[in-house]
Amino acid sequence: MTDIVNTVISGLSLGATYAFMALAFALIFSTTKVFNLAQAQFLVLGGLLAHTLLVERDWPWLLGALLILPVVAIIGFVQEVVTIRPIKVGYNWILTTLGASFLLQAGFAQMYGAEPYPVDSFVGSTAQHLGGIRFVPSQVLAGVAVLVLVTAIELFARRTRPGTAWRATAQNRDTAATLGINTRRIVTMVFLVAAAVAALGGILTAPTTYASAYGGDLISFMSFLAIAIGGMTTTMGAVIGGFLLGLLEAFSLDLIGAQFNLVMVFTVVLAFLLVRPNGLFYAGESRVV
Amino acid sequence: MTQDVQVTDPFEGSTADATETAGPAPRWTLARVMGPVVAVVTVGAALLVPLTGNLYYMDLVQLIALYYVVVAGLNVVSGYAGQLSVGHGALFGAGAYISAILTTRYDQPFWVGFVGAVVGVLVMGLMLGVPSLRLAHLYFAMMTLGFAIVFSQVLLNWQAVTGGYLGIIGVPPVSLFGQDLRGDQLYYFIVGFAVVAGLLVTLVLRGRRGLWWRIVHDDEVSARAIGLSPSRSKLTAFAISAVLAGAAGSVYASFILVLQPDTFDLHLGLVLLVMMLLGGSGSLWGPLIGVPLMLLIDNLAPSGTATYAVGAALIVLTILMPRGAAGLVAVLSDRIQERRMGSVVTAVPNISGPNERQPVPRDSATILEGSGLKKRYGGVAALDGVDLVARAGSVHAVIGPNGCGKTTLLNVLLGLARSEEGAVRLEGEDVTRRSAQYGARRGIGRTFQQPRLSPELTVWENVYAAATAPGPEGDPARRAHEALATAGVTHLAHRKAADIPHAILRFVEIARVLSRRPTVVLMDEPAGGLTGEALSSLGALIATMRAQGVAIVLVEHNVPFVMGAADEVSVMESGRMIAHGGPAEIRRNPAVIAAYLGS
Repeated sequence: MTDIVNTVISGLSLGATYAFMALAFALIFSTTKVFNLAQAQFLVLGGLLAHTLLVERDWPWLLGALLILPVVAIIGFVQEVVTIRPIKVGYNWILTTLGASFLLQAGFAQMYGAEPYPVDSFVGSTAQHLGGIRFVPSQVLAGVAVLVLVTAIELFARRTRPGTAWRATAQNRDTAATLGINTRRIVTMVFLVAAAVAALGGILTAPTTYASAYGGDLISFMSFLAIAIGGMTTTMGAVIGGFLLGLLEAFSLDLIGAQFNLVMVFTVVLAFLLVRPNGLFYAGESRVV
Repeated sequence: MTQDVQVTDPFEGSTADATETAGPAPRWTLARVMGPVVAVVTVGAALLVPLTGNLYYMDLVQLIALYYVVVAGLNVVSGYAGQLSVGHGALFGAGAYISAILTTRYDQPFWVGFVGAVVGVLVMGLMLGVPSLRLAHLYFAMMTLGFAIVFSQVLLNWQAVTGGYLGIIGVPPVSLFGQDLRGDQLYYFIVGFAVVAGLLVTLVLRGRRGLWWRIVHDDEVSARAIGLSPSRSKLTAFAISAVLAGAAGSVYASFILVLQPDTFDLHLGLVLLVMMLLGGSGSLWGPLIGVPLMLLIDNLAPSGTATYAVGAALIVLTILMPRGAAGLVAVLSDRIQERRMGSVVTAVPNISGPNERQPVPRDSATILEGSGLKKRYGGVAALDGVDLVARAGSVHAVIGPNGCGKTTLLNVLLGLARSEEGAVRLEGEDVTRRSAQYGARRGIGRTFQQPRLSPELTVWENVYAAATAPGPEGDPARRAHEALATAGVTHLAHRKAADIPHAILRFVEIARVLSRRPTVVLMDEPAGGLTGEALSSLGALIATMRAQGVAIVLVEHNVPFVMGAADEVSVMESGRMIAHGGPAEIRRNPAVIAAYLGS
């Protein structure tokens, strides 16, 4: 029994990273229908900067976070301006955002090399034992943080005027613009917030996962699977999908070990998509013509 | 600029002269000539290189030839069918590893390794493609990304089979008929392999499948309405590209002789994609330019900057030339063509209908019947128990205010949307739960409120592609010619759809439907935006179709037009039919007057 509980806990811990990333992806996707393939690099950057400021420079945690989040948000904004805004037609953004991801990764690798770096957490990142149950405080914090964050975002979207404008933009950008909503500003805000969300995810999860320049590809891919499970367009669905994927990964690690766990996770998700092509929280079809 | 087109009306005063053909396509254009020229130049250069005796160049050419085969396949699925794959590096690697494992660990001859690679990679491709190609573009791109990542993990960790970090050494060379190929022989074999692969791909892409893929790429709804299954089309494209990647991988293994796992990582998948883009995605000859160019960039980039180079190339190339080198040539070619043919198309089709309007026979067969149809979107009932019958040789018009569910009705009848209750019967067969492409193959035609043609294809290509799509029988070229003539757009056959005004595109879209010899045609506001001569031509065209025995469901706002064209009229309001009867009857119906017609 405690084995299963421990696997669930480690699954939720893995899932916290994917949940942060999936949330960032879903924020952008639901608003712009663009899947920003460079987004995971902001989670990586958050972790790497946290190492530099919190570990190497020994800054207080809060001060470090307060500097990192806006810096990464601005980089996210610049990336949007350079690689997404100029794309007018089709799916060419897949290529440009992939290119941006490559450039960012190459930059990180040049500055930090390939090795993983430790990051501190103010709640501690060593495993605690309670009975037979093992947990890491920093991961609990990350999991709670992403849940609080997504709840706040959902409340903002549903209960406030700017939130309503945001939802209108997500539903139909042209119509929203005709109604006098400054959709350009909303899209900009979304990219700033999404980059900050990813960076916060990097800062909060790096104490156990470590920050590494090459970590982005895998997280990007896993979070996409998370979104595929949860549904592309709801932020809450993305977060739940993230935790579910973490659980799937933890159980397949238990079952077949680290060598082929990705094969198993990938296969299970492909099979899931055959049954439920639009994910768990699909809102329903819309008129095609 | 003002040089108008010389229009010769092929059937002045009469209708549908079926013997009139669209005439030959322009004999040469820059875009058409480029393909053969580039092919001859590159293959010619490849054949000359061994004369230099320079082994480095010879190796480079062989590498180009092998990558060309992969990129030519990638171009089929990503360029033509529009499904971006970043996993072709892994598919290529899978072919190489399967072949190498069969030839080293199991001592099989080269050809067994080759066949094993092709079959193995095809199976992988199908396993990857079947779940993900049914979904939006994005899923497929991400799933191929996932495949690339998973493939790397397997190569590194499945040491017993793949050799892990060490890879596989001592792959035997290519051997044919018991003889190992080395040096010049191997060189000519690889170049020949690429030429054969290139010719096969060209053959497929220049046939009807090439057109189908472009239509699926442009507009899946439109593709389904002419009987194409988008997921099947995309899967075929991906299967072809997987076979080519597997075959090239197998030859690569026996060319390079030592396999290392990091050769086939995500980076290779992206490099292949950049090669395709550089040449121009969706261009027949693009890969012949893109592959050597990218290998040049890769070799010239100072060591350590390759990742920057690929990343920057992806961004800059996509923004500066979204259609690659071939795109630049196409623009140039179009400009020359425009000067030759004139740029403005103003000729409105001139069609005169049958001389006499015959009444619908009493025993006219019911072709399409919807009964008790219900469809909700969110909380709104778009259809709330609708009945409708379309009879052969009869026009059933549906009128009603905007948003009353008319378009949804057409979608449900064709199968683009599914009715929650009730049934749709096509010549007696229950097709309620059938797909749109099934309905289209069994004889339903559909035009759209906004004409949905592929803008970069010519009128002829648009119509011919529909004529060749599954369903109707008989010579498709003949059907396409006749349809163009009936709709009065023969003179526009070799114009790009993008260059033709909206009003005339409506006639092209009807020609596309007619090329499939439909038994019933669903028309969504065909008169929208038409005036004067165009409007009367449309009326004549509908009358012609009616006289040929086609059942027509006509959704339309233009009430005077409807009253002239229809045999029976149904009036819809808020998802319900509030009246049904002959045109004269409807005009007098008080409920209709109150709800819709006004006083």
